[in-house]
Amino acid sequence: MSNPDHGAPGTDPLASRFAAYRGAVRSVAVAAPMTVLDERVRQRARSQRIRLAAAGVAGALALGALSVSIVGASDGQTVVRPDTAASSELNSSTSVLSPSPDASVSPVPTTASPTGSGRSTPASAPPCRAAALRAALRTPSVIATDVFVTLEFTNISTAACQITGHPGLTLLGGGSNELPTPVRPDGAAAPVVLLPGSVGAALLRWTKPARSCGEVPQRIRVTAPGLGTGQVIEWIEAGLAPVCDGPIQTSPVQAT
Amino acid sequence: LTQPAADQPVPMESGRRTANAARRLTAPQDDHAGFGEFYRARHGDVVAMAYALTGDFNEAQDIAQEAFCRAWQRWSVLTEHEDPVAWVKRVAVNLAISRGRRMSVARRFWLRERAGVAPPISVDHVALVTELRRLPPTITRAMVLYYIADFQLEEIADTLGTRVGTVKSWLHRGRQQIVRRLGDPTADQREEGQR
Repeated sequence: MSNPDHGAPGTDPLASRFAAYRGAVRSVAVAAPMTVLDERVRQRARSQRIRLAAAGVAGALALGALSVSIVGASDGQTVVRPDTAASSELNSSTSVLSPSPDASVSPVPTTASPTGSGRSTPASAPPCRAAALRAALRTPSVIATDVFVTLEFTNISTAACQITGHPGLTLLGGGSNELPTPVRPDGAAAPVVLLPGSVGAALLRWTKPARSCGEVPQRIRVTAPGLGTGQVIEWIEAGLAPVCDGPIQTSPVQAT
Repeated sequence: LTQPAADQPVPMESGRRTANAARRLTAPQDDHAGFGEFYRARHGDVVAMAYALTGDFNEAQDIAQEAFCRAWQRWSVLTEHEDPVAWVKRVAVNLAISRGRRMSVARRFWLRERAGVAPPISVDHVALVTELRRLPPTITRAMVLYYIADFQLEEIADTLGTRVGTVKSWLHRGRQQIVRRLGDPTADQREEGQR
């Protein structure tokens, strides 16, 4: 039933949703007759010639100084511009919890200066105490040979607090015995301020085990960055649970 | 005036201007063998992709038509050297991206404020597209290429100019956000169990 290499339908609730969507669009999208395609090809051939001619004339007129680009971006080519090249891999280095991306520009602690939006985030706050955070694991996803799980820390206190760094992890067996837990922190950490109720998340990623290996972890002890006391929570479903082919890569905690 | 028939040479009256296009279109059947089936079989999927990327059904149909036109123009070369299915999807993705970029900032803002033209499909499907488009653009594209275009991870990385590892992270984030927004019964059960 499941094809772990593509979409992993067994564990991927979205695969069937997308399949249904495709079917629906297929049934309503009417392919224009070939004659319409013909006409379109013909028209473009004509307009390209006109555009080239226009560009030639303009070029002759505006030799040098005023060379405005007449012909727009050439069709069908991906032009990568920095505004959309959002770096958001496991190890993206800065994370600012707020809709205003400029918050990182002014690192001055301004505890009570709202920047337009209703939900303002101070640039810094006291470090979170262990009791202020609740840890939870989201549903894992399997993409090709990798398992991804997001580990979330919710600020359940009534004040803003700050965490910086990578989470600590210890896998636990059935008898709460500690299992070997190789972890590789990845990426540079930046402070994340959590308002009451807001969530910081770290991404965990490891290679899906191809075979059974040792004891299957049942739970995990999670330690927020910089905190000694951890919380024990359920580990993920048995089929994906073992970690034996290399370490768990962890991102720093980031804003969500 | 005589109408050019498919099996006759192009008459001179039609002019040098359209001679090239006409020659292409009146080329022997062999040059375009299989195009019709390809077009009919794949058109719907390309529209599904383009609609997910643009959120506008009219725009999506236009993008699909343009992509197939281009495939038609170089069909014999395409079938010889490439996978036409992947090619036409890549062209459609690039069209959707470049058209979006070419829009003025003002127009983009205005478009964001209103919903695009929706196809006559159920609200669930439209909601899926809406959620897709709320993701960061790179993640939207990765999701569309993965779930709708059926691209392999390497092809997605190649098309979006990034690494496979990055694509995987984007897919995980996109999937998680959409599941959270649209709801997933199995996820809810899991969360209950955790408490």
